[in-house]
Amino acid sequence: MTGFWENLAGIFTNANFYFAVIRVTAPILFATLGCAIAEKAGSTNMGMEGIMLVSAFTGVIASAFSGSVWVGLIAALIAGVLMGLVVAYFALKLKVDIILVGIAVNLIGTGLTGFLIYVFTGDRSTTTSLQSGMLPQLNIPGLQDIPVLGSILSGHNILTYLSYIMVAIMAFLMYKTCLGLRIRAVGENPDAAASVGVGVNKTKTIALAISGLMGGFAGAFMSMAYLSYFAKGITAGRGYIALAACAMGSANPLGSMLTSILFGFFYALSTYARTLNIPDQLVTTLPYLATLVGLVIYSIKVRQNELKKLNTKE
Amino acid sequence: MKDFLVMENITKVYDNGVMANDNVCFSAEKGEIHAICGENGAGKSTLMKLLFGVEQPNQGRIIIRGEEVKLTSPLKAIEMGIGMVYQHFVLVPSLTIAENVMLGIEPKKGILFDKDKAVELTRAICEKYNFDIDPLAKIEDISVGVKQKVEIIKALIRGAEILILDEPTAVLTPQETKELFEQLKLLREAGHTIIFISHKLNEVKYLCDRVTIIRHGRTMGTHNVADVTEADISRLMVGADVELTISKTEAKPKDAVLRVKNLVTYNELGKKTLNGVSFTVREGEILGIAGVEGNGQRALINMITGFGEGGSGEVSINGKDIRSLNIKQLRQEGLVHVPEDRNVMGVAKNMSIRENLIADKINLPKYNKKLTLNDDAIDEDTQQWIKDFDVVCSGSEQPVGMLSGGNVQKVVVARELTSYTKLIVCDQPTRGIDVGATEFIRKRLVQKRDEGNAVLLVSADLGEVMNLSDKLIVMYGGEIVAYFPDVTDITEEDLGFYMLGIKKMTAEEIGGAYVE
Repeated sequence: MTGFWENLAGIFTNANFYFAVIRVTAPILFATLGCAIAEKAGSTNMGMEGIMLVSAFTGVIASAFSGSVWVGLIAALIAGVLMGLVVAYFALKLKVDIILVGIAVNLIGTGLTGFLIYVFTGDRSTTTSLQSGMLPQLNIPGLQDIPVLGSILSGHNILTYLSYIMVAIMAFLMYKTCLGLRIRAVGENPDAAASVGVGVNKTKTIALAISGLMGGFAGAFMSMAYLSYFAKGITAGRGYIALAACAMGSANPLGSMLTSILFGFFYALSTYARTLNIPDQLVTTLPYLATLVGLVIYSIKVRQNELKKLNTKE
Repeated sequence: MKDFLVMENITKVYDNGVMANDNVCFSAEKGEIHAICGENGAGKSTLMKLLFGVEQPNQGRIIIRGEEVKLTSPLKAIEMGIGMVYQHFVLVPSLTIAENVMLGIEPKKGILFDKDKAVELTRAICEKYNFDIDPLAKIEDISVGVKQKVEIIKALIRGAEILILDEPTAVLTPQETKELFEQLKLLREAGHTIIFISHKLNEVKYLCDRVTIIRHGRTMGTHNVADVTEADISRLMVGADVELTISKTEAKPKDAVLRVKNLVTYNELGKKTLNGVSFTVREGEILGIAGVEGNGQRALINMITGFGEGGSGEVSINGKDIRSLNIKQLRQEGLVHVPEDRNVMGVAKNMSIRENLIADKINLPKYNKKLTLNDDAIDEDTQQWIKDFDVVCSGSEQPVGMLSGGNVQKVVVARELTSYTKLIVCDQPTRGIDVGATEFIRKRLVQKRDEGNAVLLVSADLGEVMNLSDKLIVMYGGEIVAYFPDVTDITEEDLGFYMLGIKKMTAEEIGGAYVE
């Protein structure tokens, strides 16, 4: 077993591992922020996985046919927003249970993209035959020259950097703007918001559109930064993991970032742990195991908070 | 000002055919406190919904400041200077008072929410109307009384000149009520019109200038409060003289039915909710429990009715330890329970009156033919009970949820009292229901007492406890702090001292509540 511990230590002393953590966190982070803003508005965006799939696919197609990766990105974002609005339309206008809408969106995302791969490429699983672009990586001058730290922090994809910047943007949106105030009010007590003339459905729709936009970024990252093509099931459950991360992070941007990094860590570990001589199947379950453990910790935390609240009330 | 607020010949028929308002006329002047009194289901709430734009009338006109208006939504009503304070507050718990007040009309700096400005504006309006609150406090941390003030401020900051308060004192302590009344008087002086919906005639008498009485969807007239007595108002409300004080003969208590001894319970945090409570209720007497809510009454009722767990001490009915019995077994011992919240524990709202009435008796051979139910027997008896308990409904198949509060409560009481009874536990039996139903239920309880049942009565309504009880205990901080073997010569003031923990009787005096 000594080999195991040495290998494990090898992973944790490898700068590339931390680079990978930052990189694989990015799509989860986007998605988690998207879930968070929807959650704050009281509309759980269960359909994040499907939104990511549709966006990832749309991005690749738009990129391949326009020849510009930026057109691809914008198309992915538009697709994300539209999917967010689809959720809003069914859940708010047609009053379908929002969880069911989310599940439907996920199923459509899987089925539709799988079908369209075939339509566009003749291939059944990937779009590798299409020439779609990759979003650029940024080497940050100055930073990249610092030993170790430079190799961890510099040279990431532009969307990776954006995902972390997005944490601040979302925090600003939620806690500093009028829209954010309304979103939080609507999510917590829609009657209170409605009683003073805040349009509950309007506010929720905006939040779901923003949620969709985040899903768009997450999807674009998957097919235009993480990989350079779309593959069936490319998101591999990240949309669900985002839901868990959002819940654990109490739907706060900062909390979302911390929990996303936690999941990113396990994702990266599952890649690197292949050197550890433990069965591959076991290793790849790491992120999902972490999700389970995370949710347990989360529910304990919630319980404690409730108790604390009870305590202060009496 | 003439025609400041006039509602003229208002008729409202709901989609389900219920005529809630029938040619109602109502008018209020600038700078008055105008009470609207009526039984539950009389149409007061509907009338106010029409005035606040939640519902639209089928016929009639609403005139505000001399002009006819169409109030198509609450927003429109707010624009016209109408504000509504609902009985159940609509506030966002995690936001501050200032944020709640300014929600929807946020002061902006670009796209930013201008927090300082919001606090400043809130503070300004508080000072103007003499509200003593901290705009930076979070809603989840403040008391019910302060929450109500926030609701009033919310209306005022939007320019409300007409304030509708729907049973505002139902949730307040006596002190908070007093404070609210002072506040409302100040608002009246400032020229605001206040529409005060209430069941509590003494409050109407104390606070209001005029009163409009509604019965069965029709106006029974508007009077100067100074010219009418409480009895006059209640007569107009229910059409018959209501004895607000139930007359009863002296209790003839016999053997002990309920014995509680040294009962100690804890909440989920491990904090004591009951601390050594002992008392006895005997056949043919009503023991009242007075106390500010949250002083252990909940835990005590739970322990007696089979909802409580853990703790130590004895609870017995007819000498039989009931701590380990389930609720079905408890009922076989003759325990019946009129729960505090009829909507949560009292009835299944979507089920019919008939089903609700028979729910606890479904296993009796009379109604149960083993494989199927004996529908004929059930129909016959439930219809009789509906008559006996004067449940106003369209038929026994009507869902309970469609009934007014008073009638829902009558269904609960009917079910419980037609069961096998030895010990009747009543928790707030007449809360939030009209005078007629209240009187009816109280009389029934006294009747049940006279038939030899033990009655345990918990009520926040001091008048009720003092009127109905033969013996009275006061609870404070999970303990019995006073025991009155004779209720006739105590005053509300006396009780207040014990309820607020200012006074406490000696252990010997309190010990009198328990007899072996």
